[in-house]
Amino acid sequence: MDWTTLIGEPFSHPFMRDALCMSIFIAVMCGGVGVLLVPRGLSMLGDGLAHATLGGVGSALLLGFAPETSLWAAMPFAVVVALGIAWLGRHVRISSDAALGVFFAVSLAAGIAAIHIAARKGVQVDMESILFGNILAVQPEDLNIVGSLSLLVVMLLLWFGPRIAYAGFYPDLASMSGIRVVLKEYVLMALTAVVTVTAVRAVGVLLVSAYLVIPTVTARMISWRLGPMMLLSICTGVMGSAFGLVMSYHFDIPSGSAMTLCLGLLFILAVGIRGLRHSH
Amino acid sequence: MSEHSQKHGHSHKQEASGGVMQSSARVLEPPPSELRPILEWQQVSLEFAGRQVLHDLTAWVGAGELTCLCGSNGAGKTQMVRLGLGFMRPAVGKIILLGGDPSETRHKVGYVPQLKAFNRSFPATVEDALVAAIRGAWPLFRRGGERDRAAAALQRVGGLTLLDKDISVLSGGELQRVFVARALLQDPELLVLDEPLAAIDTKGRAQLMDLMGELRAAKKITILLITHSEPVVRSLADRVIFLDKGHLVGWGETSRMLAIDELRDVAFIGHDHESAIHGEEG
Repeated sequence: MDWTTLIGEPFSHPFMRDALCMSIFIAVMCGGVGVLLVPRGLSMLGDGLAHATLGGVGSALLLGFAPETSLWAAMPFAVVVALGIAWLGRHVRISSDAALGVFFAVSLAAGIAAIHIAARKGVQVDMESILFGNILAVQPEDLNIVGSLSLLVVMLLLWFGPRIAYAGFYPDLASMSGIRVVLKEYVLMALTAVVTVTAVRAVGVLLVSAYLVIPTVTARMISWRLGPMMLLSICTGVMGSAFGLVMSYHFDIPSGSAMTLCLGLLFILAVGIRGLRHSH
Repeated sequence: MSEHSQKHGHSHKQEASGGVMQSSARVLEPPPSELRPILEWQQVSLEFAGRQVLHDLTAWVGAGELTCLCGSNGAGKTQMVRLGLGFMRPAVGKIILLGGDPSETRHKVGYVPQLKAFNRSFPATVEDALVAAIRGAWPLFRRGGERDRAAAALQRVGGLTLLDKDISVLSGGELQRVFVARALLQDPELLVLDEPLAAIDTKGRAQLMDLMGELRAAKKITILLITHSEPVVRSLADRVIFLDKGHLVGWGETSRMLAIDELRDVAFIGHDHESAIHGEEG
């Protein structure tokens, strides 16, 4: 098989090109936000919020949203959950992972109950695409929404990112420099909720943390500065998505798992590069 | 200043309260009225996590002096400093920092916090940490000029070779030097150091003490230092403030305060973990 067949053939199909565009948008958002999230010890926040998204989907269905739009309707729910986790951690003095555990379980349970009630009313939900994602079925309107969100997230990252990062390094020192640390924490949580729900559309609830965590830790193997890490993280996400889509096409395996496996391979490669650098 | 002198320019003894050091040992001798107050706690009380941690506390730090804040673990030293820097508000009383409200004036303070609360896994070089203090935001990408300022600050504390190092691989002493360099970057009027000698090795400790000695000798900067180490207090401090269970139990010139056994027992006996970690005498 030559390179043209390997790479060119999959992307000769419009649905594959749409999927690639979608994955690039998601990689940009997740790569940027993940670099701010993971060093704070919040690697599993995306995973928790993705599960909480089910609660939003269920609520949206009960409110009369169509199944195909219910995921987008779940976004405000996920944002409220994310802000709730931050509020609980700050005011009730429980750790972020414990607060995440509470919201994660309760909203997942609420989501399952709501989806069950909706199903009794005859509303059918494609649970497989929510759990595992279906980036190959992306619609042009989805691309428009995700493209716009991606642009918004990048602008917010450029504006807030350096101050969110400073607050993550040492909150007291950031505060001494005039940064409103609490506000920045809430902004980061809201951004994470937005990118998580968006990534659920591509890789599903079960694999969403792959996009937030793996590119970040891969970049950390190569660079120990935040700015270059952010760029490397985005590049890792884009490459893992592209290779994953190609692999999914040729081996006929689910796109979400193929993309996650490729991200994992890139991480192993980065660990190897780091090992080589240290040995020299 | 005259109003201030009236308020603080006399010695007095406080009433004893349950469980706190005996009243006979309480000696409160504020600095002379000629000194300008840089940081003042005026009749401050503070509740934290449902417990009263500071009780009707009045003290101040005079310009150009090195004042040590001492007391046992849980005496309220860190809360007193955090109040002074505007990280929290007192339930009762008032804080005046550099003539104003701490939230508005604290950017003129160089603060060296405890290392134990620092996120060591954060992806940063020493240069990043210093440039962040210059910019007031984390430097995602480098700009010209800032590196020179960061290098100059590190040189001042004898740590120029650390500039490009990953901050996670630094020893406690190296890290503390970076934080002091960071605090000195903006030419602060007040330098506040919270247990800077804790968890650093003998060499780092000696270097840091030398640096503080130089800063003190220059008299251009006021220093407030939280410490558990009697030798540090003896060799560096102009004045000492002693806390016991949130009460002010001693305040005055170093030689006078260290001559009082009860105060030394409260602050130093069994609490000098800054040197105990390394098995030093001090």
